[in-house]
Amino acid sequence: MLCVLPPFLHAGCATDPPTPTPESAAAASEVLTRYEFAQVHMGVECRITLYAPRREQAVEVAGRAFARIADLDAVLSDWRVESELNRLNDAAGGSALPVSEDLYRVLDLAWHAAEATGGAFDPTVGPVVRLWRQARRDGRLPTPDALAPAREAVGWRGIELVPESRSARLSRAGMRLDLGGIGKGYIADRVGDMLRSERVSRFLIDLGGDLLAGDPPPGRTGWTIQVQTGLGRSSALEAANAGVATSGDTAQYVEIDGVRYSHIVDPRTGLGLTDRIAATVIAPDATTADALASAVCVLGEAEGLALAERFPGVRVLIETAR
Amino acid sequence: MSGGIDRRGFLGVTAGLAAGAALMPASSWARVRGANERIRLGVIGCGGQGRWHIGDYRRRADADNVVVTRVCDVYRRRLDQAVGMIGGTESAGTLDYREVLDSPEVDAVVIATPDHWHTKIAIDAMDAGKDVFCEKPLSLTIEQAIECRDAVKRTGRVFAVGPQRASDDLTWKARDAVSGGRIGRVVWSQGAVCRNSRDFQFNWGIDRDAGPDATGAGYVWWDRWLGWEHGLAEKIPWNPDHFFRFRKYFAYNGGVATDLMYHVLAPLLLAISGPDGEYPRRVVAAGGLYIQKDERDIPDTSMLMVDYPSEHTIVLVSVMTNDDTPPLVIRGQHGSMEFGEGLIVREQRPWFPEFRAANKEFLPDWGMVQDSRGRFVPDPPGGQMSYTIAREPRRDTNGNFLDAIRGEAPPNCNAELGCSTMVAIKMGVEAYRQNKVFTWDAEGERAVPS
Repeated sequence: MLCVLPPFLHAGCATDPPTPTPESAAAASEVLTRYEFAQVHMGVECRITLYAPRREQAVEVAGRAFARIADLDAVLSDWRVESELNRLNDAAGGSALPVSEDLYRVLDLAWHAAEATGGAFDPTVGPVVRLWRQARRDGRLPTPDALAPAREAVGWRGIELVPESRSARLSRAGMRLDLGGIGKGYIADRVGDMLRSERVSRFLIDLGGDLLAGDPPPGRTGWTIQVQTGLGRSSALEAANAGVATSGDTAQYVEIDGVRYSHIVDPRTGLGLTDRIAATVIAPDATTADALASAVCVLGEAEGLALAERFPGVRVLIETAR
Repeated sequence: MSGGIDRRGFLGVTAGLAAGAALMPASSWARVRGANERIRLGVIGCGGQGRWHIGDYRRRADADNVVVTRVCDVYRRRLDQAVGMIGGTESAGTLDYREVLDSPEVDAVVIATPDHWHTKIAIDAMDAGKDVFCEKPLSLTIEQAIECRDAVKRTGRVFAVGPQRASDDLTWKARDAVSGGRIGRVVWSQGAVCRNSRDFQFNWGIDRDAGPDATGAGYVWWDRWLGWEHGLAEKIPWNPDHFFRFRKYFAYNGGVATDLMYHVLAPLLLAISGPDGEYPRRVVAAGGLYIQKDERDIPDTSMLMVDYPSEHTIVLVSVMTNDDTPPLVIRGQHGSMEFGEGLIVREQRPWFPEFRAANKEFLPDWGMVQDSRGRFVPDPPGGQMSYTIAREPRRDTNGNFLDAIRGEAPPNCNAELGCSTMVAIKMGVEAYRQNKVFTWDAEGERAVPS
């Protein structure tokens, strides 16, 4: 629910950039023009806004960026049956599998994020998330008989990583990784790496609410980002060289027996959150912002803020509603 | 031991009602003494420990409004010394503890006899309407310990057992930490009392003129000391080594286990399981008599492992031939606590987030830093945070006993803690002596050998 503010808000999914706007940064050796691209990946609209000297370069770089998104989605998606992540999931309880550099890296980051948040963010929440997806479809709470074994299977300490062989193992049968709380942030960071390596440093990547802002637009101190949380409020914030993620009480919820359950599941209880809370996190990178946003919602306002305070360069905006 | 939880719950309810006074039994009314009333003590057993008590109560006589009015010992020389200490006339001393119990000048007794007499005198005293401070260990046998605990319930008297460390402020600070979940679930603990000497442990001085046939100061009422008429020990001829060095013999005590391990097990149980302690599930023993091979039948090296129904293990060590003593440590899943000048609380690496959350009011600020691989890691790193809780002044053991008599505080080591501590240690003594593993039948309250 985030979008780049006008005047360059680009409707639709066309990959053609809008009319170039010449920049007048006197110090720049080249005149930079703003280009904006959008494609649908991972079930959301992904937007890349960047400044480049030439249209051809912008188009080419954006194309490679979307290709990188698609590649990473094929690795990290838990929706795609054939994803590398799901191959690891299917091997839970068995032997360690050699994994790609990206999967290893995101698992390593996720493990540390889980530890740093005391398990409020937990990438092994997959089994209970599956139950809650079903519950949202059926309008019925998971039965205790279904919930108990699913909860048993949750626990990030069951992720075993072997750096020497770049292999990974889920220690218990039934474990399932769900990188929904960190994957988009990770992808944004990797796309950001790619853009910078292509000498495109002024960019904003928006993967359906998980953002990475690079250097600010010429002559500006940051990218202005409008945050809408679904709690009826919206806030504008400015960010540069930072990740921004919003998590919380958006449209994704289910009401069962008069109780409103968020789509965010508390890994520690296996239940959807019932507190109406939304958190926007600004962090040095999008991976951290993504993981912390989920953790802050799970922890609640006081504990969530206390957690975020420990992270240098992290700012949090929390909204709650009754 | 789910029954134990229920039972405690029930007792908690009872205590709550008692606070309302309406259901307080008459015997309890009688024992609650006014804060301004002088407490009159009888000290039974005037060896080293008994005389220490007399001296301590003399020192605190004014501050705590207490006086020792009667003293008792079966050895005339010690009795005379004790009478001298309290500045009393000859009638203040007696060889027969029953005269102390019968005296209207005595409100409470301090029992500092050898162990085999502890509970006989304690139960007689409570039945005579006296409050009781019993030196550790509570008893010689498990049956005596249970009987004494039940007598406390039956009579409603104040009853305190004497391991000093139960009054150590750090023991109670550790209790707060455990019950507050600050080190996670306790998994195992250790306690040790170790010594070394050239003369061998417990080879205390022998008065050569002492004995049952002596007249005057050397007289010992040997049959009473043995207590064979009450089945407390076997009837044997006068044996000065038994009399003066009773801790060397299983006939009268459990050796280093009951004498020394009691000092650490009672506070460990208090901290881990609460003021009522916890009865064991299983006890195994190791050790032997390796060096101090004189007349004694007790080991000079003793190690017990005690498993508890609430799923933790306590390792107890008492070695008399090397005094390099391991510290008292309680280990939880999230952190450890070591008793020293203060209570040092340390985190465990894998559970540092939980530890730091549970201990935040004691810890300095900490944060996260991003490492070269972009991972946020804690600073200081997990496993490296600790803090020390300082020992603060706290009412000592004898002061606590006086407060308990006045109804101002519960005894630091109550009958249940004293009994559960005794049960575990005695099971260990028998595990060693019988070369067996002992389990505790909680229903029947008896130790069962493997």
